[in-house]
Amino acid sequence: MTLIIAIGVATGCVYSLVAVGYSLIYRTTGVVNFAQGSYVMAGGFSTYWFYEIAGLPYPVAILCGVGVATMLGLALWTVVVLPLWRQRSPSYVVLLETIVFGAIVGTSALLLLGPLPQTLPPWLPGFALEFGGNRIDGQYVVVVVATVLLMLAFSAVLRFTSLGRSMRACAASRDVAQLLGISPERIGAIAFTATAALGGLGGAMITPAQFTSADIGLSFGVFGFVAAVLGGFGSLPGALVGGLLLGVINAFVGRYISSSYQTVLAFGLLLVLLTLRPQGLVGKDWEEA
Amino acid sequence: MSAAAELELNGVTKRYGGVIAVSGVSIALSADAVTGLIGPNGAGKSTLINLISGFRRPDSGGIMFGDRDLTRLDPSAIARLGISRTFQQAAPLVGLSVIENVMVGLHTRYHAGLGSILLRLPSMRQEARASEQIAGGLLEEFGLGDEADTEASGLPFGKLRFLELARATAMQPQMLLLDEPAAGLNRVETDQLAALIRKLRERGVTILLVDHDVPFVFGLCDRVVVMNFGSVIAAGKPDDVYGDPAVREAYLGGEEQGAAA
Repeated sequence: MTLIIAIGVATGCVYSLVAVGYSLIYRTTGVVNFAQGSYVMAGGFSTYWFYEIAGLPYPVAILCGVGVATMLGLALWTVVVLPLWRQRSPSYVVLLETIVFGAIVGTSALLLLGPLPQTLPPWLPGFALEFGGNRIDGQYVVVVVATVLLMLAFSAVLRFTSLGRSMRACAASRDVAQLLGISPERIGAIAFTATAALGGLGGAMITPAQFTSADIGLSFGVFGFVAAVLGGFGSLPGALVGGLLLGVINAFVGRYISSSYQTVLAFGLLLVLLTLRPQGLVGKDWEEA
Repeated sequence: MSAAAELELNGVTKRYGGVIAVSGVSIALSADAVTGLIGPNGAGKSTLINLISGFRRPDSGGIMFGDRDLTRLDPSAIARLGISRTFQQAAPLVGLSVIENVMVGLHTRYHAGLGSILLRLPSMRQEARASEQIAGGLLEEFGLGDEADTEASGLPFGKLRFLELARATAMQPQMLLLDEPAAGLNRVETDQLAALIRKLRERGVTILLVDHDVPFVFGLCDRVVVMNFGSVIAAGKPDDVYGDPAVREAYLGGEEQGAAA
């Protein structure tokens, strides 16, 4: 039981990091970026490559892995989204392109690194927690603590820095932001890059606790999106709550029913909740976080 | 504040579909003056402001600000060159407090990018304190001192206008484009607004003011430009423009016809 909760919470943390990505990008650029989950795959899988195949020291490999995910985010913005954005393409075109981009990233990983799931050593070898007679793998603790710190850092940047104010200004009105000298294109680049780094780090963190493979991008993308909507699209605390809830529910369904029912239940929950509370579980605006 | 540059429009034309909104407009706004832009509805006044601030691009003609060509620049680049504007519909940044709205306006001067956030946290804190002080001062000046921490979208209408002006001023603009700043204000607020605009002029800000309130414009402006059907029909000192037959025709022509019918 404790173990299932630990697994659920840790996976949920990664959903939350993905969900923050969806929210931040949507709020600042108006784009729903379905490639968000592929950063998790890219972060985990390329860390594996840098460590196991290229033979780099583990911390360096993690940095490089997160770097790859970050570059993917910047590339998605610069090469794919920005040109469409400049032409004021309809949002469904942009949405489709992000799905295509995510599919390309997933397929490339499959071709480059093969279909086998891979894993990584824990970040803090030998570290574990005793909790209610159960031994909880230290990596779960790492994921939870790192996620909380990242979320705090993220909301502090949004709340207290001029970059954060510029992002919130963009979210409130791109026209007004522009007349105040803020370039929405620059803010978009920062949002895509920062959230890709967040997803990539999530992938590098969760891989030692579980595994990574070329096709996990899709499920993290979908569950991250569900988490974002569940918590309240655009809300930072909402992303955290939605992610954790979804992670724990998934873990229980996977353990006691069947992992093939995870998606059914997650979507069922989403449908019910959105009927009852269309704005999601938590608040409405991440600027009020 | 550096010496204000002159704004020059040369044969600026803008069409929407088959309609010519602005037709071959050539005007120069002299530095350190308040220029009023008036004209009946649909004369092209707001379009002209949108063209200068980069929210629309002219189909032909050029716009120069000092020695800089604005014609192909995007709005944020134009804003960074020192041309600031307000909107006809007051546009507070929803979700930001009143003081934060003004601090975003300080953005062009107090600018911490992602790199600097990671590299120089201490100087950033200093910057944050300095920008909060400046923003606070501006709020006092614009009569919003008590509302600093209020959510901006919760302000009453009149205060929103002043917030918008404070935010534009925070950018330390050389030129300020005001799109109907007095619309919806009561007499007292309009007088306060006029006093603030005069104060900005004394500081050397070039101001272009669009408004329907003719006495307000003529009382405040050093120079008046009158547009009708997308073209400039008169320009000069308020007294001269006031007596211009073409202007009287544009404003009163419709009424006379109505009276005759």
